Amino acid sequence: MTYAEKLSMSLLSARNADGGWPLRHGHSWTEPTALALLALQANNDSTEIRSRAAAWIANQQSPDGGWPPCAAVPTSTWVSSLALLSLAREKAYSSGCPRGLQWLMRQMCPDVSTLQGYLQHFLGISPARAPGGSPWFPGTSAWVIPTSFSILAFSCWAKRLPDHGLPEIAVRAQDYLLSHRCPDGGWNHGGSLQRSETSPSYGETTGLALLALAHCRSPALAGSLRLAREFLRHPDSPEGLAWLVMGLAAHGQDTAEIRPLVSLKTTRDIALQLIACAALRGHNPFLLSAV
Amino acid sequence: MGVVGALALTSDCSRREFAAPASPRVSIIRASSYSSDLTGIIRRILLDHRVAVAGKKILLKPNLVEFSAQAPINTNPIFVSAALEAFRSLGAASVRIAEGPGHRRMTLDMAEAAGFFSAVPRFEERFVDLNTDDVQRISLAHPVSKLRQLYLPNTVFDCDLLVSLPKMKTHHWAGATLSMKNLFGVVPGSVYGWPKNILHWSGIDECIVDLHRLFPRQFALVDGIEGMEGNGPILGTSKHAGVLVAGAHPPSVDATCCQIMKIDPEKIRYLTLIAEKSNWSWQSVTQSGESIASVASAFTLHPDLEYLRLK
Repeated sequence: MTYAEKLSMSLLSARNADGGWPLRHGHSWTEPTALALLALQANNDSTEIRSRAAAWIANQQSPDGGWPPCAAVPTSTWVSSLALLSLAREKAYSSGCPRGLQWLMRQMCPDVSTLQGYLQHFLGISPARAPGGSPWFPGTSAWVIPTSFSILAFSCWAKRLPDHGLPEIAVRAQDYLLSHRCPDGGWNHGGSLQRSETSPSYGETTGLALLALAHCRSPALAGSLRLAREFLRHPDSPEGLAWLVMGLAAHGQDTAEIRPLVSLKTTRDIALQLIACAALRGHNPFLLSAV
Repeated sequence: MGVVGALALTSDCSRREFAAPASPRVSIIRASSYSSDLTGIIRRILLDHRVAVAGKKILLKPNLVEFSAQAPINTNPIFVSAALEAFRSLGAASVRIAEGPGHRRMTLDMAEAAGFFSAVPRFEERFVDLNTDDVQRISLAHPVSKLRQLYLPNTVFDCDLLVSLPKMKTHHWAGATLSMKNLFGVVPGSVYGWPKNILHWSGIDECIVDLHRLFPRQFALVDGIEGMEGNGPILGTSKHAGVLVAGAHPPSVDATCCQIMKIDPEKIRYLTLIAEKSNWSWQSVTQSGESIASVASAFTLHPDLEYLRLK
């Protein structure tokens, strides 16, 4: 049995009876279910398990167009990006996605006006909500991980929905990412505010941000890619390894094979390992266009 | 649902809820290193404070922030293990450990790198990642912050006593992060993200107070053996303080820690908020064991926060 086959078995054994997946144990949540569905797509699964996962996600969509993290929390959050990515190749379940994209666009932190920008610069203050990025939770600041997933979702749906202005909004979000790098060239959670300016980057966020910047060919990324390769030599977690492999592969960089890991703790860990294995075969579902 | 949860759900934000013990007592015990008999020390503290442990469900809440086992960022796992053994030795029905880190998502990998798996027997069985736990909605009656409700992990309400096990650290926004601020870790990233930015938008100090009020049955055990000074809670440097600070009233424990760190409790906003809303004042706290003066050692403050210095 190959490593990918073992991972697939682990993923399927973690599934809940309702067709969704738990974060680790317990009820089904949107994030792990979306990642599990992407993993099934990455491995060309065409069973009923895949369609039930897609149905579970489609059924969770809120009236406002977004997706809540789980049934117990009726507020739409950043997981909407993952839901949009996971349904992009499930035509039978994707009719609500245009509304989902509208919701996601509404969460983007707005640009400051020229006057506001001048005043902030003059007074030496950072804007509380950096423009172009996405928050984890509505009404709060933008951060690196939700912004990265938003970029991937906008890019995924751009060709299918050419009238939505998705490429433009994705470019603004890419600018957010490029302006929120750590001094070492990578990314952490996004904590580059006053008194945290020297915070070091993390492997997982560096890999994910590079994946989100897959279509960005800025020479400024050379240092980021170099750092990602360093992280990849000693990844501190399965999740970090998976995002680094995907991020580097998206920029045409050679990466190591995914090594079997025993310490896969969560549905996210297992699904991301499967997706990273597929990315090494040139089939990364995060980078595919919606059908 | 355990006692903590039941009280949290039925409490009505009266002065009773805010009421502090008439003369809150805090223990200050010297411990020069993590090779001291920490289990024995913590056991004696619990007996001294007459903490009801036998037959109770105990939840230990350490501070786990980063992968590093060397930097003084996380509550030392040896300290956590000692607390676990102390509660077990006093007949606790169960002792679990729970945390929901605020910056990085791979909690168990971080716990492993930080030394918890090697220091704490059967750590993975005992540990709950609060960022992956199922949640329930809690309404905040008369909140101090802008929050009106929070979704919190089921595990934090399924216990009889919540034990805050923070590291003694400076904090570049709140001034000091101790047993009360440590409760930010019970707010689930799975709902609010990494970081739990809604707490910043709703008022850091005010949220510290609101979270404190949700858990009337608490005990605080502060790891002040190796603390952090300077640009805490992550980018600071190690500071040897050589103490454990403990008590049943977290604001009193935190005010005592501040004085040990030579930070003025009067200038720590979450403590002044508690004082404004209750019959408590940090001057009413009595200390047992060592005196504050005998263990006090100024923690370097971020330059912007020098005004917090205790004169």
